[in-house]
Amino acid sequence: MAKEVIKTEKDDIKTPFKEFVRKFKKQKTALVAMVFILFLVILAFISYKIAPYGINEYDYNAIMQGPSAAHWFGTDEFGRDLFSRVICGTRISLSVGLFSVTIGAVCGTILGLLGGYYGGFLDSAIMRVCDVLFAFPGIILAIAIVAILGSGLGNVVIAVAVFSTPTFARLVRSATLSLKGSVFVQAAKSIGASDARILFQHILPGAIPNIIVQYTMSIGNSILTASSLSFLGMGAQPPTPEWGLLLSNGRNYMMSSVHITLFPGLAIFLTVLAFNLLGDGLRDALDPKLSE
Amino acid sequence: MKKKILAGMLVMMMGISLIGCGSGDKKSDDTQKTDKTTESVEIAAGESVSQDHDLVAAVNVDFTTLDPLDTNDTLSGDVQRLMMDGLFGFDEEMNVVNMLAEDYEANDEATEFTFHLREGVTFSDGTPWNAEAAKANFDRWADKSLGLKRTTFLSNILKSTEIVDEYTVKVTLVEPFGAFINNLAHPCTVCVSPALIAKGSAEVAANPAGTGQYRFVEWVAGEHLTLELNKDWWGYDEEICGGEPLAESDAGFKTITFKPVTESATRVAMVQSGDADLIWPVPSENFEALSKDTNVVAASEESIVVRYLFMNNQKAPFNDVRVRQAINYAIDKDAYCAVVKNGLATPADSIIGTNVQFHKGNDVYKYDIEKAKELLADAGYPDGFTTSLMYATTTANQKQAEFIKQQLEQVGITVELDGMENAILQEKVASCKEEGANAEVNMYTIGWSPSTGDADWGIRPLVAIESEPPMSYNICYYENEKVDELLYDALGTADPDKRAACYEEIQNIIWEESPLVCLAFDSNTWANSKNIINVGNMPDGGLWIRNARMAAK
Amino acid sequence: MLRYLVKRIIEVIPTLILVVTFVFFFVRLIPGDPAQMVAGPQATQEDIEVVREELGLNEPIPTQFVKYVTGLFKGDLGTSLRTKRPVTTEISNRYANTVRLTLLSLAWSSVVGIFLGVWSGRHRSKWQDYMGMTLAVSGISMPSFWIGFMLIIIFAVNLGWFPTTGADTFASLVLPAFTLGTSVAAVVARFTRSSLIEVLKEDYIRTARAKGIKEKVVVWKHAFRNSMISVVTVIGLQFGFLLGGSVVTESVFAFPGLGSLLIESVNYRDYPAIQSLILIFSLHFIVINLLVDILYAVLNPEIKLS
Repeated sequence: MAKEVIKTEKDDIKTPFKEFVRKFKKQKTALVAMVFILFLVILAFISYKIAPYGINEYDYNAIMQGPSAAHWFGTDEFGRDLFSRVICGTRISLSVGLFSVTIGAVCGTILGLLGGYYGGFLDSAIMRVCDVLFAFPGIILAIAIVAILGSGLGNVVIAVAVFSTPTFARLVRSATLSLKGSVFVQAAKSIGASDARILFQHILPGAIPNIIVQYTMSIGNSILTASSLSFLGMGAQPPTPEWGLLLSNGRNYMMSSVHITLFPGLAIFLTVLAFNLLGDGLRDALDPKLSE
Repeated sequence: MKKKILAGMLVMMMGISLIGCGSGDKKSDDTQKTDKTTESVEIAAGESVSQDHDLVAAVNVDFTTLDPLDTNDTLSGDVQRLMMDGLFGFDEEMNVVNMLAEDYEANDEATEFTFHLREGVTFSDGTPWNAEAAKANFDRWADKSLGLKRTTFLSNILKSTEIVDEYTVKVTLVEPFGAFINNLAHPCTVCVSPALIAKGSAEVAANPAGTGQYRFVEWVAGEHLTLELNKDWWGYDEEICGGEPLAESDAGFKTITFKPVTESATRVAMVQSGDADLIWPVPSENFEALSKDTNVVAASEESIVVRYLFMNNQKAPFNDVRVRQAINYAIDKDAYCAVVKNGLATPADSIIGTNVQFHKGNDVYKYDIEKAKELLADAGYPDGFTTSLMYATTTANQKQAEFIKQQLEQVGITVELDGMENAILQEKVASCKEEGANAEVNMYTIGWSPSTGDADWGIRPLVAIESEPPMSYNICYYENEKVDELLYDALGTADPDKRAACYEEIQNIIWEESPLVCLAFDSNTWANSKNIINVGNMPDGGLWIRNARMAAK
Repeated sequence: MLRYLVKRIIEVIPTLILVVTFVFFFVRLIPGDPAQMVAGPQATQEDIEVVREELGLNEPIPTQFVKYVTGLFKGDLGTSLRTKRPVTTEISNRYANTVRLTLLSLAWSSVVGIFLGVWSGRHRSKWQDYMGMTLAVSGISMPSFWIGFMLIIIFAVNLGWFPTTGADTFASLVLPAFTLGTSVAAVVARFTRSSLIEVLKEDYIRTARAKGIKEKVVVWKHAFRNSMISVVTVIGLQFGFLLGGSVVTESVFAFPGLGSLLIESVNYRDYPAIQSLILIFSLHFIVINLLVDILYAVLNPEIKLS
């Protein structure tokens, strides 16, 4: 007797995740961006091994040389190979971006959940603080924090985390506000689920798409802020090959030796671009209303 | 033209020394060699069109005030020197020259000075220059209650000023001060109209009136500051000047407008595009770009600014002279000038610059890794050691710090770079109240110059025991009583030969003990459009524009 | 409406008080001594003390706070420690410059951003969309100092079309406005696009199309108008940001605006100037937020003013 293959509904169900993947695959620029980011992550791990020269290998006889076969990106003011320094800077920029935004996202999410859910005084207080932080010009806040804590990348991470927190807080708060009245939540409340359970099992998942999108966007922004801080002399210390610091060191050579600002600038640009495109693609793919 | 003026000044200088006083040090005409990228144009006598031209100069910071007694930055001092003259001044080579004082006498102990004032000079508000005006200025400098940034410049040593006759004043000091004349050549002691002094410091700052080559027009903070030419300036008048006018009759600009532009790349762009006629300073990196532009003359000249690497002499391992000397041998000064300053510096041969009065050079510590390692091993550090270097974060300082790190690595010394914002650095290091042995600082970079052009201010604040933080800038916590004794001996007399002998010995001792590494003498750099001549920086960084002339296009 | 307005204004007051107090104490937390900065790099301890006394920094902090706050009520923003002139004078010289630059940046970037957003949005997923959005995203991915320098090199030095610095002529505003506006245009474009796409899904749009109305009219007459609501919000927010932090752009172009004044003041630890500038930036931000909220409520009848 031939076995009947019964097709159950399970095979035909389009889970939200599958739906997301399907939509995402259609965002060509986002796919390219993701591949580029994967490439960057791999580069961050292997850069120090594959770099043709040491990042501190100086040669006073080869100062400010343009790109050549020996030095693909040219050399800097101490004769160090710029290509090696730029690729080794990937690790730094990615780490700073990831850490600072993760901290900011976690803090902001918690604040947003609490404020949105409980409302009242807690909500007002949180929103008031966020308002104050928003009203502060971002770069000044970052400078002030770094001034108090001292320069160095660790403190840059803290500074950027502090000023990304309000964005996440607001985002999650408005998601919480709208999800608070949804059917799921009402149902969960009626069966006596604890607040924590409601927040983390029902509300948070609803906010996750927005958080993810904002997260990817914020990474780009945080890399830019970190490089601005290094540009102003408050971030990475020499001889760290952080891209913003490379740009700062090269700023006086801009007119005579374009390569020294071109390549680090391009590195920042392409990395931030990739994260932003990825964020866009994610948002388009996650948005339930944006069907094709 | 230049030769005539140079000759004239030599005559003046010889005249001064004949009277038995004067600036002391004899310098040859060409101590200063200006390196220029393009040849200057030649302008025949009387053919300058500068007096019809509105000059635009782009500078790197904004002005702070127009009150000379409240000024501690060179740039504001420049503008004040254009509008106001002092009893004395500096020439292009930091020689003291007579301005509103024709000559003077001093007693041997340097406690009484009598000044003979120049006649026929008037302030721009009509008040005449005479003994009363001079006394009004001296009294202002002696006034401790004004609370201004330069209040302590002379107020602690001035005792009294008396009017002897219409053009003579006698000044008595509280204690001997051999460098008094140099202090009177300093930009903060230019003379202001007594009518203004009577109205108070706010008025002095708001509506400056002096006897200078230019008059004040307006100042919009952050945007521009404008001066206009005073065609009746006494410096153009042969007679009043006693033979040779200070500037040719067609020299000077109709107006000068200064614009503060912090970003150096932007300043460079301005002089290239013609938006500015003159810019300074030109960072060494941009010099390269400008040297290729034939419409622009980029020039550099040795200044009196010296770059140092300080070491905390009270802390191990720097308390051992062998370690300090080792570090001195380990840093290649020629490479420093080539790499860090793009060739725009000279290895230092003393703690003070070549053009500072009483400079005495020694042999530069030659780059010698073997010797350095030997000295370190003798001192007990055959494998080197780890230490830190503090500095204020600017692009130039960062480059310098990285270079020092690279150099010291060669002898096994690992330097951790600790750069921070200037305000924080000053608080941590300059205001530190601890004993040297407990101070946080290990190594520190700084640039210093004596704006009085005199060895005293170039040395005492950096090495005297009383100058240890928080008082002043002896951040190396160097404590040598012999050096201190010599410093005070030199201050206690007005006799230039005695002073020269003291400073020579001081410089020798410091060279031997190496409490700090004297890296290099900075060069001043400026750039101007090629049809302008006789502009530039003086060794103290000030603007030299008195005899500037311009060719027709 | 009026009740809403009053309520919002009242809500603003605690925020302002918080900002003023917070800033006053916060700047004094940052290490660095204003008397030392003002006295200068060769000042001796004696010089610094003279300056400290003169600047009134020896007074107890609560006294200084009270003086500052009472001054605020009289419209006196304090006296700059660095220049000894009233902070109000320092700010008023530069205020007009910053406002002009901001308005110009906002104007061009809004227009370009909206057009780009609409263009991308209506050709969704086609090449116009990809190109438009990549262009927009590029705008927010470049460090502003890099853009600024490139512009100076190309347009001011090599081509000589625009002056490198200054704020007096319209031409001198062009390059800095372009630099500042790049990121704003990008943000506006993206928001316009997504807003438009949302609106284009609405039923009434489908109806309009079914009725046979031309696509161009559908987009511009119907969809555009409704998507503008959130776009206006975004533009308003950007306005607030622009007024505050164009510090880096201002230094690249030597632009005499509020941003460069703030950086100078921070370098010198000029407490009154820092406090007052941040207060003003916050005020800008808050007022603009308020205006945007009101506008939003006016434009979108669905929002209940509760």
